Amino acid sequence: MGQAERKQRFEEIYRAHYPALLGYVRRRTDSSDDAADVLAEAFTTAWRRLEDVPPDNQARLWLYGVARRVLANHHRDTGRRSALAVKLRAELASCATPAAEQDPSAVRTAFARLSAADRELLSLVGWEGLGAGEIAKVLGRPPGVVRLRLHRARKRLAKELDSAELDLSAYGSRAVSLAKGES
Amino acid sequence: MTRDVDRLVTEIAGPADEELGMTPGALDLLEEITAVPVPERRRVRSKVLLPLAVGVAVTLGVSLLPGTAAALDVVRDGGYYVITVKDLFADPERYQEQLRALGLNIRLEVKPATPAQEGTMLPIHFGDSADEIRTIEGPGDCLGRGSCAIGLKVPIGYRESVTIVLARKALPGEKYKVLAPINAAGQPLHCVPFVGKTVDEVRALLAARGVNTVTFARPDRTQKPTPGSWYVHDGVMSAAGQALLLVSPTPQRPDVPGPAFTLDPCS
Repeated sequence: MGQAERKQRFEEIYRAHYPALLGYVRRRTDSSDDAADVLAEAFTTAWRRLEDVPPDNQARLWLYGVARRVLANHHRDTGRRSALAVKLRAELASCATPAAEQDPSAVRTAFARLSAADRELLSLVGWEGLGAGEIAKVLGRPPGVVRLRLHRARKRLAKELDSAELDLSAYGSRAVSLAKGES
Repeated sequence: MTRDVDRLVTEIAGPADEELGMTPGALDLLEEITAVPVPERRRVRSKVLLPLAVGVAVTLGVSLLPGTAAALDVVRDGGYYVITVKDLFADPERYQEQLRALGLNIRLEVKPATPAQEGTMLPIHFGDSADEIRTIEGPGDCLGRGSCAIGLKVPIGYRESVTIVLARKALPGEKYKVLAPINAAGQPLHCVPFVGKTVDEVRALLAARGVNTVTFARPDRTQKPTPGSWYVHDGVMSAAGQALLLVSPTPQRPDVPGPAFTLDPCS
């Protein structure tokens, strides 16, 4: 593939899936700066690995998979800002949506208590509207495994919701994080 | 149940895709990304030549880094590299150098942990990009949360970038970075009931087992003195001889974000 041809193919993918990928990233980041960084890195990966990007709607699932990995690494790399997406960063900051975390609803609290893997499964259904077969492509797992894990994740969220209703009456949701080792 | 749960998740989604169209900033980013040409040569080298060279070297038992003792032990087994940790106190750069030489983009983080966890590798993101990496099961029950590993099996030609935490023994006085529940196998209160007991009772249990420094995580996030009559709900080892306990004034567990170590490691 020549550079011109490459650029054309990438632009098609970019234009077709930019809103979906930005949505995916924004729903999973706290700040607009983080969203811009992750988006820039995910699309840069797609540009470098263009030969690996599958056609049509499969490209969206592939991009979700890349963004997932970028996010996972990004959470451990806070403070490192990409030099890309300067204008985008400003745009995202100016149209800041109310941060999801400002609303300590019982659902959000229960959801936050699930493992990252459970949250991602449920999000791919509830936020991206994917089915088990599509999720299997994003995660690179067999569909049967995804269906089973999804079933378990739903059960765990239902259980957390039940217990959250009891706990929340006694304590606010802004409490210590034992896992962070704060003493 | 399925539909209800999915609907609840949808309701906490955040911005919808339709609100996020192509903007001048988006077009700017497109230009920035495509302005960087992709070198074809680099791809060929990393895909074919390097693993080939590594394969030959490993087959012949030749160290890839002459002059320095290898921090990891690498053996080829079928389509996998079997990687075990030889030197737990090596400079992390040395692990990375060795893995990079194998064509692997795996980053090892070495973190202090309890003696019982020494030598274990914990992929941070289970079911994430480490999907294809298999752990080698070793003896013991790490954290009471599943099988314990003392090494990794990585498919040859594995290209993903992934971070793996490697537990090493903490130096004297050093805080643990890999947390272990105080009742996990190898920890002071393994198979000792403590949840629901008072702070004084648990202090005594810990002191009898050599843990004399106890700190508290309280629902109010303060460092105020914690009464001995408060209740203990959870706990982790925070350093050698030091425990961190989740406490509250009532027997009901407070609502705290983060993982609850609810698995009974005795069962």
